[in-house]
Amino acid sequence: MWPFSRHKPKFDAKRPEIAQHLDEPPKSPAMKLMETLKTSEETLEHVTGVDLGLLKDLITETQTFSKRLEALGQDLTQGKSAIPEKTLDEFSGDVEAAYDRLKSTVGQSPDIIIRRFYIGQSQQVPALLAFVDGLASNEMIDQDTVTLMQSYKGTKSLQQNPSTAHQIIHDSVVSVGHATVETKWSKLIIDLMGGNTIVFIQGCAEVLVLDTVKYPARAISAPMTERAVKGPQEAFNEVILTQMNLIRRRIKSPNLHFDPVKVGQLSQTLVVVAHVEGVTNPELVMAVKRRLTSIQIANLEYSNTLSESLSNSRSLFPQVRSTERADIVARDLAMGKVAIMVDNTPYALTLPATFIDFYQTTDDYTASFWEASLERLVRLLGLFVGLLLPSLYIALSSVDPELLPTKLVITIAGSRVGIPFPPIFEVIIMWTIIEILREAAIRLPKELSTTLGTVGAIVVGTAVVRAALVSDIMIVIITLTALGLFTSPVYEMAVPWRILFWFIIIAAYFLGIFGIILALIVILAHLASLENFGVPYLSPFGPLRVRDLKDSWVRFPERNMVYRQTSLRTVSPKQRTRNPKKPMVSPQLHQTQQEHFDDEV
Amino acid sequence: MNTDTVERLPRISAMQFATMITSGYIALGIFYFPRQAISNAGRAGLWSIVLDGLITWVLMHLIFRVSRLVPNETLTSFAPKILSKPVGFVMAMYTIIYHFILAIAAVTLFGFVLGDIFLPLTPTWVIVGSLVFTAVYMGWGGTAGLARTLQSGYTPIVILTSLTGLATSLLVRHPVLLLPPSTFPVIPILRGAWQEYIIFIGFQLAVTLYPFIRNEQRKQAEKYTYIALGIVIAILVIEYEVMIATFGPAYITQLRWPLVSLMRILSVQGFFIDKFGLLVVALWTIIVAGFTAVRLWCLTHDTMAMFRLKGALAYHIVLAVSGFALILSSTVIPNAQFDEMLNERYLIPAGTFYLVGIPLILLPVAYFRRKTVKKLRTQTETTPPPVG
Amino acid sequence: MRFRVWSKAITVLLGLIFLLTGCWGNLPVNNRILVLAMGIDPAKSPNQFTVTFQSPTPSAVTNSSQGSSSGSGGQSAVFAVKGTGQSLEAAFNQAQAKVSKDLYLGQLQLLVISNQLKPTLLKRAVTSLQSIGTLDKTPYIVVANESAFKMLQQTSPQAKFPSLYFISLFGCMSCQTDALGMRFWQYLVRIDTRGVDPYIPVALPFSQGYRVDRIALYRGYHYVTMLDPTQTTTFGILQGLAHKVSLYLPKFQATVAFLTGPSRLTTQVVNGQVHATFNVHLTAMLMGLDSHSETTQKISEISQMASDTLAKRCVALVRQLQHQDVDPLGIGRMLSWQHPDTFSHYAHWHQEYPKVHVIVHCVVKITDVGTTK
Repeated sequence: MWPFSRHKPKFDAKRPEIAQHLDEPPKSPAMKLMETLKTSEETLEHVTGVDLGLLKDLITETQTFSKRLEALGQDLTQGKSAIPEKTLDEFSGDVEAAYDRLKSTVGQSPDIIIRRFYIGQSQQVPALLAFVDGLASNEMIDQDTVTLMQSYKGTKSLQQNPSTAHQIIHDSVVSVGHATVETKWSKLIIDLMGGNTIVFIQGCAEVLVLDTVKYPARAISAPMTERAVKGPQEAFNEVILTQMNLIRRRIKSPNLHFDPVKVGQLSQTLVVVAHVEGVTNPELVMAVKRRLTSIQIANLEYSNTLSESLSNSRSLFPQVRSTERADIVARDLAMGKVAIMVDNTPYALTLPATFIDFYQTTDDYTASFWEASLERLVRLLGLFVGLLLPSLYIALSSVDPELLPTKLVITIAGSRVGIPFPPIFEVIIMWTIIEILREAAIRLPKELSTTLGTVGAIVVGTAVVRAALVSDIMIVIITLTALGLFTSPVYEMAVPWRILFWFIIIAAYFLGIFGIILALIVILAHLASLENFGVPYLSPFGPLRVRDLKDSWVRFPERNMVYRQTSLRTVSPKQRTRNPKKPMVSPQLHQTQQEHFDDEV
Repeated sequence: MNTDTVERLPRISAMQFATMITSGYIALGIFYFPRQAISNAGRAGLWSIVLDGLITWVLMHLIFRVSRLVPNETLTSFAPKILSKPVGFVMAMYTIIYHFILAIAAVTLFGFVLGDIFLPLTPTWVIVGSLVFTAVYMGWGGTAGLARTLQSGYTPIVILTSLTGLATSLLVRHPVLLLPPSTFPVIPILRGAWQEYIIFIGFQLAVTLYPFIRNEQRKQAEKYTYIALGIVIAILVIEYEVMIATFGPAYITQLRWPLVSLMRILSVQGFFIDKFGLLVVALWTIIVAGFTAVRLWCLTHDTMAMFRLKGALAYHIVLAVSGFALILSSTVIPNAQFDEMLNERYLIPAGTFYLVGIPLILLPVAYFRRKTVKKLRTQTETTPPPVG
Repeated sequence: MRFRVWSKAITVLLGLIFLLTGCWGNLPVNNRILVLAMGIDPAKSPNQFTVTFQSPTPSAVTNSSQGSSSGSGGQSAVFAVKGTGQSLEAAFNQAQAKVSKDLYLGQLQLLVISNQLKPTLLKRAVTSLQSIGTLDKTPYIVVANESAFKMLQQTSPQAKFPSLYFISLFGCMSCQTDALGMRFWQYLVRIDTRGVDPYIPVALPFSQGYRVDRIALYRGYHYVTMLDPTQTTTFGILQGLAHKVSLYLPKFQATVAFLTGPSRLTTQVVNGQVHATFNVHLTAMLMGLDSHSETTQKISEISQMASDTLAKRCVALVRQLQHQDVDPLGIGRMLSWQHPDTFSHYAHWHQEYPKVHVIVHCVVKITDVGTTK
């Protein structure tokens, strides 16, 4: 209840002023209310201590609302006379009504341009176009739309069959490449907001939607988070169309499908589900789409928001691979996975992802299989070193020293003389320092972070040891750990290990080597129980798939990888033939070669 | 994939089945191996081991035959329908209790081994507790999760252990002893085989696990299990030879856990961890944890089948409760000597009785009640595999 | 659903309780006294023994981590704690009472026993050592003449601690004339196997360190005698342990060096009489001949003579061993493996052992004539 309404009777004297405006015939209740409010405003101007802003807001809102109501009413009455079953959501064919409706809804915002004009010169047909300034290409609207329409000569036909006017315009007037037809307001507004230009023609219920989308976008740059030595240097940008283009360039087959889904009531973000028909398991595509459409959120800003809904447990481990590299997405698609792209996010998601996927990079496929295998094994080693070294140190130096060689035991004991803390505290101190340094280095500007690194190195390297807070062996161990954990080519994969690290440390503290092994079993059991869209996370190790092992911790030569991953259950399992056909030798060349051989003999 | 079953159980592959069955034995007996065989038969103990393997082969064949009667149900759920309810009930109870005691014996044994070597100051119940906790977690993800964990963890450790076992052959001192024993003292060999049989006791979990194999892979699963048994026997024979040629028969009979002792004398010069063999012993944790997890899994499934419980929640509750009960009951066993007595006096007879008794009772009865069996078979599957 | 959350919480709590009930075995190495060597001596009062636990001093430990390999200027790098008692455990308790840190046996690398130790005491000590779980049976065992404590007090400029000295000595085949290193488990195997007696290398301290070229022979737990260096090398040849044994032949003014090779023992029973045959195949390097006197015939003569000499020495040694009724060569053990029935007839192998007929076949093959001239 509006609080000031009670005071209304007091200001009866001012009523005549309102009466002056009452010459307009339709006196809607909204108008009346608004006028009352205006009066109150004027009155209240003289009263101090009242926040007039609120009242002004209310007046504007009421104004807008009444206008919108009016436009709607008009639209409805117009429409009803033409086609009886039209609803409020559909365009009636009256350009004026459309103008009012647009003006009263989105037209309030300065970036929305609504323009009335006439088609043709001799017989003029009223028309209306609307677009978002900045999202649509001005040249296209000027030259390919407005100019052409205004100078159109065959307007007569338009007037004769107004219901097919859009067809004529579409076929023979506008020269915009992509044009569609839409009747529903709810869809039109979203199209408009996406950068399209919508054209209303008097008497025609169908509205032309011209694709004039052109907005500022970041150039295609080299990938920042997944660098490759020899691979292609193209990363996605924020524009989904560019993302699709980049993939389309790599997979030209017509079987590549991009299925659009809109997610987010507020943001109406375009999400594209990409898959290759005839390769990807259709059940998987269906499941992904069903999962996506069931997502009810107001705003979808980042693709990662989706990845949480796409993996079904609260596991630490990422189950959806997020990448900015177009080549990785294309590769995954060709392998039979599904890619999900989200407008305004340069990171596409590919799924289902298995554990080993997070240890594969572009470089693995651009280098020789020897190098690739070596690098992958180094990553595995890095993982083990990073995850286990500090816990092994704790276990071996405090719980099970009998496992170490005597000389090493003496060295460790020597480096620990005078250190007041047990090894676990050393680890905690050092790891805290490392994490703080890391976090600070990410947030700081580049120039400062270098300085920070140096300072950190000095502090960690010398001062802490000098102060006898940690032993010097510990420095070596923690440095290796910090490096080892980040050998995972995908950043997300380093995170679970950084957390599980503590779990193993605690286990090692209490139960030594036995504790470490138990902790590893628990982690393994967890990984084995994970499944993403029916694909076991630990495959090809979990359910042992010997054929898939060819592209796991070692990579076999391409020639041997005849089949796609079994776990993806693709429609066509083969991806290449084992023995490529030998090209037919040119007879002449063959002869020459033969002679050449004869020479040698 | 099969959709024509009435209630589809989560399925595992043939290789996973073989891994689970294999992890269901070895773990308990491996620690005593080959002391009993040698103390009874001397060098001819090798024949005890081989004999045990052959007997297991035969028994396994019979057990699979029983499982094939109604391939889509566990023994505990179909036995009452064939044998009448009270007999089925007794059989189910026997199965459950037996699994439970076997698990107790295994975890306490490992608790003693670890406590003795690595954690002398830690109470045994803590070691057992954390081991059982891990085993329960392994089983938490259900049949498929457990099978995958075993495949990705158990198999590599078994391979590593066998490789280390081969490395121990560097310790061989008396190559003369590698020659196969020429004597066949029948009674001592049989006695040795009987006492050594603890190593193979435990594969009866096949009766519970069988319905979980994918229908089309049943034959293959059986084949893989036989192959795995063959590999196990081969490894045991090799290890036996290495051990006897390293220590000589007289010393082995003095050792409480001979294989552990063998591993402990294996050291690698110039490596981070000096006593590499000892590290391998620590890695055996996964073998024991796998054994316990498989047993807890069986326990849970048999209990659920007996009381007709269904659903993941019931599974988790029964699993957690049996894990907890396992920890509590393991405190009853005071020392390693008692544990060994338990094995020799109760577990071997009871296990052998079960392994021989089940086929002996079920197969003839099933023959006489062919109609009932046929009805049961077709109830869950249109084309069940042949029994023979 | 709610139950699930609860059940998870309870499992986690239970897990935590397991973990948080204490930190039983957790003790950093610098809070332990790492016993690297242990010496067992008879105590003054009969039926008791004195056990010496030797470990590096903290300063030696710190120095070693900083990489200074040289000894710490006159100051001893090791300290020893002594305990006396009727059992090993009692001695251990007494020693533990004298130090502030945990006396830790997991890193024991060297076990020194005095040859004065009475059989009953030695047996008691060995049985106790066997049942210590953290102590795996890999330490080397050596015998000290008279006092183990004194032997452990001797320092060597080559290694900071006696145990490290023996690790590097016995761990390296080519560092010794005969591979005499005996690990504790090997000793135990010999103790527990019928038909074989243990032998233990003797470490004699001298001013620069230790001399390891003799072995002590035991009949079970009874100390019998100590072989002199020549006898020890002969023993090494018979056991196939010889590595750098050399033999000077005055007749040719030449040396046969680097005698190395396996020895195979076989037993036979002929008319109730046990025959033991040692087949020794040695390779060697010939040294000291000048090139014009180096003929094929001469080499074969030398080889023949070396074989004869060595075979004679071997036979003499075995005779002596038979006379002393000690069987470190394991003739009885081999008999028990090859002819178990015959062996099981003997109630006491030691009564039969002196009667065994021993044959030694020794072949020296000169494979290397040196690179001189």
